[in-house]
Amino acid sequence: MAKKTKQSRNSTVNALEDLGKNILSQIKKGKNPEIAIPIRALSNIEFDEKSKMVSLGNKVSARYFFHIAHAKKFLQTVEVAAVSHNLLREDKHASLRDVFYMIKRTIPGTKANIVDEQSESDSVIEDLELITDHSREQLNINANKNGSVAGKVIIEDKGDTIDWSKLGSGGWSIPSNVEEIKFKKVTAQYVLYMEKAAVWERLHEDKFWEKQKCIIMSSQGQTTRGIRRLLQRLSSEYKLPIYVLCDNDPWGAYIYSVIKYGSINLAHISGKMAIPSVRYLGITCDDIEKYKLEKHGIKLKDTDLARIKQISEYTWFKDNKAWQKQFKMMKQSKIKLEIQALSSRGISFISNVYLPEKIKNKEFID
Amino acid sequence: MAKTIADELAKKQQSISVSEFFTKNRHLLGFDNPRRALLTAIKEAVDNSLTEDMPIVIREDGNFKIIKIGGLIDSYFDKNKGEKFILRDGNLEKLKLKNNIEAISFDPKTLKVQFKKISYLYRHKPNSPIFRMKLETGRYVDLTPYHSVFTIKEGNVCSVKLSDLTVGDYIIVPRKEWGKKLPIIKEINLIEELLRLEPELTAKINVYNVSNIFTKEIIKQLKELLPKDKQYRVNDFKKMSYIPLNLLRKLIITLDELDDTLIGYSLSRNKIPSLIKVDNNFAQLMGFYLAEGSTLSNLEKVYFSFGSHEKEMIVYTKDLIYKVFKIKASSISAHDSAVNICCYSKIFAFIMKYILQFGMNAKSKTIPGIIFNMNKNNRYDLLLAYLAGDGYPSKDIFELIKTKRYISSLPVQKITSATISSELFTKLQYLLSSLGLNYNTGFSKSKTRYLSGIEAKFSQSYYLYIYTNQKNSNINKLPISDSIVSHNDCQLRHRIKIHNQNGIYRDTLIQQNNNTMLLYKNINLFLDSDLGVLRIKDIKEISYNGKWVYDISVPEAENFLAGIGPIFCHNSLDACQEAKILPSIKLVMKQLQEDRYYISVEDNGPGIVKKQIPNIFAKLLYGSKFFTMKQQRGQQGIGISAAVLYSQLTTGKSAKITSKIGKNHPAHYYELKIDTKNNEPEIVVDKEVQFDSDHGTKIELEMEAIYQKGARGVDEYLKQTAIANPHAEIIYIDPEGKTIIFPMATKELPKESKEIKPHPHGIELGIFISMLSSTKTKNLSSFLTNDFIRISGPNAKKLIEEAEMKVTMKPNSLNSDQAEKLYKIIQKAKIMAPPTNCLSPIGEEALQKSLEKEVPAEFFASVTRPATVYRGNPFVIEAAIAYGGQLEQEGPIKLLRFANRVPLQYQQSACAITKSVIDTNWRNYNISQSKGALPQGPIVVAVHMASVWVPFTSESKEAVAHYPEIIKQIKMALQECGRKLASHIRKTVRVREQKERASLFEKYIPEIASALSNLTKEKKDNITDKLNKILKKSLKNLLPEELEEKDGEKDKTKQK
Repeated sequence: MAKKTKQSRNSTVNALEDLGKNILSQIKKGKNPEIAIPIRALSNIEFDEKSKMVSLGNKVSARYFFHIAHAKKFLQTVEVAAVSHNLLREDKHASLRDVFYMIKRTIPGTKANIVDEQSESDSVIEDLELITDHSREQLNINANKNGSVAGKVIIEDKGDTIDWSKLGSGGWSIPSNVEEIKFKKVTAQYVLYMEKAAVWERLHEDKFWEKQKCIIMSSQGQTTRGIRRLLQRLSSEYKLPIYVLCDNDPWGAYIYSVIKYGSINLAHISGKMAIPSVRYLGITCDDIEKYKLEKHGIKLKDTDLARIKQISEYTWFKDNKAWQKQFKMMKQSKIKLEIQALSSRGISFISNVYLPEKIKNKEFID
Repeated sequence: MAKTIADELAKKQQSISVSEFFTKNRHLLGFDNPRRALLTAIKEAVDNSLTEDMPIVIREDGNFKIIKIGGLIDSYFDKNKGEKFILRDGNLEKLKLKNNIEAISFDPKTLKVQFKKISYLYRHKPNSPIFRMKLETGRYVDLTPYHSVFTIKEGNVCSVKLSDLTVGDYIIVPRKEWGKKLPIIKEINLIEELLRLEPELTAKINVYNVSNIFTKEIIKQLKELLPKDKQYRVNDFKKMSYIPLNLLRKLIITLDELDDTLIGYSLSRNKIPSLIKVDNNFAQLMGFYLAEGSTLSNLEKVYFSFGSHEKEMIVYTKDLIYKVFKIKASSISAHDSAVNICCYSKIFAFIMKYILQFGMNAKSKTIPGIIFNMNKNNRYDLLLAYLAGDGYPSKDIFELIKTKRYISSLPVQKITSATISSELFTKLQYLLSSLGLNYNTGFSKSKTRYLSGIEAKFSQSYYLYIYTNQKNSNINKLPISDSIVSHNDCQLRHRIKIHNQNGIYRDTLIQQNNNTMLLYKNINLFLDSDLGVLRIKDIKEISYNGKWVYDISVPEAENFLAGIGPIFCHNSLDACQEAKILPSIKLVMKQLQEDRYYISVEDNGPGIVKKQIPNIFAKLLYGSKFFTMKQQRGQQGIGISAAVLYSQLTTGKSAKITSKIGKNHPAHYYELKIDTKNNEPEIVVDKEVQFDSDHGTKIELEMEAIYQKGARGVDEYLKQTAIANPHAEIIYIDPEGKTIIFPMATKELPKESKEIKPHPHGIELGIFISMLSSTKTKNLSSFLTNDFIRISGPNAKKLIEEAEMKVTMKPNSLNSDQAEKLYKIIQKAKIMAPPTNCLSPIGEEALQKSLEKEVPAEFFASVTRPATVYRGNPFVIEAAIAYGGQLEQEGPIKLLRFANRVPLQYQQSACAITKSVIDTNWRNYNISQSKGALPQGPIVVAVHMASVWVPFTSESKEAVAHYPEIIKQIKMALQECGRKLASHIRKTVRVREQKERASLFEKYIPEIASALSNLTKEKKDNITDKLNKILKKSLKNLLPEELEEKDGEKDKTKQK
């Protein structure tokens, strides 16, 4: 294992050094140095019907140093590469925030900082993944912990044995890198992933995972890489069905599609993340009718409607009749529904009635 | 509107004295405190041809004419009575020409002679003696002393007033031929010409040889034209192949079908072709006619008288008559030494008298305009034939005709000819000039001589001397002093010194080499031009009985050819704006005591006639521009008299006025006070004095005042006045004795504003009522149509009937209710907007130039909006903006407000201009502005409103009233300026940012080098060096592009 890690580390170091050498040779030739970066945008995204995965196309953009619009980004890229190079050599890990502070400083003689916001360094890190063809984790950069899990599972992490069913009210918090976790015992029958931490807490309090023999998992908002990787491992290593519970709005639908097919931003690592077998449990537009929740809906805003239009045209939704029907119903009803709206029918309606019924009747959307 | 307030105030307070009125209302009049009083007083003070028988050459709708200027202009004034502008109490009339009339003028740039369109005709009452300027060859022109002709000065052609000329000065005349610029006619269609005459004249003329015209259609037409009992005549016409001319008039027929016809008198044997070729035969025949021909006024015959020895010429002429008119003339010996060639042809005589018009006898001979439409050779033929008849050496000249040679081949030095027709004498000079031939003239009075013991009376005659060697003509001489800067030719020096030589031949100048003479720079242009010079022989006053003197305006060229013998005259009117003298104003201020100042204001304007001086300066509310709808500068408040009164009330001193109206007029000096009880001038001193300038007015006042600098001070007022009057020069001597000169920004005078009658929508009820009672018209209908613009007769009738009144009612018979009713109906009615061409804006370019002169900014933009109308008053808004440079960076912008070129310095917040600036969203143009406030930044905004009637909020005339139309126009002008400014600001900001960023590369290099060195183990310094080299190389490619872009933009704004 240790050997394997070292090999991977060497390959990453080499990739970073190749980048440096490439730039240097351009400089020595007296050329305006450039870095080629695959474009991460919808225009360069391909959806593979067979594998049901989002992947990156071949379009590449050049980032120049002597270019007023590029110079700063170019500098940031090289800076991050150097930071990562140091981390790898010293065998240390840094968080995204660490990296931000490691490169953030004012350039002498100017009022300009190398980076002003963490989003800038985060984005450069993603670029660097593409440039070096090594993932963030391989670059020894970790995201912050995010998300909780509970259920009938026992794992081993860095030598510690952890039982996900015995961690009190907080559950286990999911690290950003789950590659080195070992599953020791998995007795759950399915995984329920939800968009809202508050809903997770509700289900946890009701011991839903115990009654239903499942794993409940959540993040706050967008699903992090750690969670997606953990879900994928549970799906591929233990063949557990994964069900997703989101708000009934276009943003919820996109969260589902990211887990299922991959994201536009991280299309280059879809292979490690996407879980084509994942199913959407709710909330659906049909639920609104079925459980008479119209009164508890929130009126759609212009931005919501625009988003519906946008995602309904994404390749992976475009030919999906069930989803097109959902979008159509959303537009017609002009309301969206949060998961918590189910509480209007009683605080434990979700754990006692809604979810068991749904799962029992297999009311999923693919 | 403000005027109404003043009127009402005055009326209400008639019972109290003017001084009381003044004291009570001084805040309205701009005299509310000593500081403002000083400014107001200064503002009040600061603001404020040819004779008829001179021939002029014109082309009227393409036809050439030499016509007396008086006759020409009077006829146009008569034809267009309603359209003339009457200015200066009827002393000046002006008419815009719609017809296509051109004058001969020279292009001031190229000095080439050309035809140029005449735009305006003027005539004004003679207000000065008339002088005759005679040149060395005898050409002369009669003009007023302030009318200009042209001279040559240091190589340049420039205009100079007659009053500034003396004997010996050189005057510009045409030197080269100009006739080739005229259209050529090749034939005269006599039928066409006859048809133009009155039918009574042509009753007995028939057209013959017309068999081919009698088509069925024509016969039908003829039968319809003739009464039933005369219809049989159609058969006669057909049989005899003729038709009466007056019947032809009524037929629908093209004249082309009558080409091969003849014309003749009914029952007369002699017929002549209806188509006369204008060729050398025709030209020569007419030349002989001019010299020897006559036509009897009873049309019995045309005859030519020759000396009996001129046998050859007699035969030649008879031949010509046959060739041209197909008439066989007979020779009759008149007496021993004379032979007459007689043509007893009534039709020939008729044609000579009514159509060709060469004159009937020796005294009335003339050259008709048609001759100038002949080609050069034919004009030359006519001249030679004339000279062969009337000139000496006759025989030699006749030889020239036969052998087709030029006069330069004559064995004599000059040709002499004499005529008793002054008309012919003048026209011959133009004919010679059109051919580029130079000549001299002479004159002999009528006298009685005894020839062989017999008393013979010789009438007065005019002589022409034509030089066979044209090169030696005086016209080819130029003034030495204005052609040559310096020379080292000792012969020439000797001739100048000993023989007083002051002329030099063109050829000498052309052939000189640069080693011996240094010529004035532009003299070569002149040598190459169509112009020559002749010296003034004398200038003397003549008596003149004409009602008017005349002038024409030829745009661009500003000159025209006129005179007895062609001379270029400048088109000019008398004084100042109208006289095109650039205004100059001199202001002197002295502190006498702590709160007492002396001010004197002197201008170079037209001056004020003596009897008007006391009224203008010492009578309140006199001479206001009531009812005159013309954009005028000045006349602030209620007039200069208010300043005089203020001076009188605060110091007890009288005002001192000096005025002079022209060079030959005395300067009048008055010391005046106002009789405050009766509002009448009180003359303290009245005498004639010396005055430095030819014309102008000077006023001196003493007054209680506080002198302060700053935004509302005199200095700022003058600066702003200079901005709004780029064509004026202001000289200011301040109380500290410092001289400040505000120079002119442009030498171009503003377009003259025109006077228009009021528009019915532009007047208040009060004014309407007083117009009703004071009108000169006899009935309501003519009151509405004559005293207002844009009300037509039918319209007036409609309006009056709508008000249930009669068109015949006397205007002053309306009671106030009726007047109000009519007024309201008129206000509601749709009436066409007034014309807007009567305004005189400063002009985009001039406004920007003068702002550039007075404001130290880096960017300027200006705009003149199209003229529009508010409440029936036309107006124009102009705006200009200055930005950056040395202007104050912080604080609100500086706003300059102008109305009819006068700065408005008080009541900024009440003014529509201020409101418009505040209401404009300046943030759109990258300029900061808080809500409801003036924008902020290094900016000067100038707004000018030009109108026949600027609506002020009060009588002190410091703020423009809030009319939505006005505010809209101001905002649009500001927006246009704002857009130009915004693009400038964006450009400068972008260029600055890009430069900053370029320098950022330098700062980035060490950073990237250390990171790269980290990755690659390459030495940091190596990387830094390499990158710096690349930067230097690419900077060259990066920067010039941006700089060029900036320059391009600068040019653009300049162009605009």
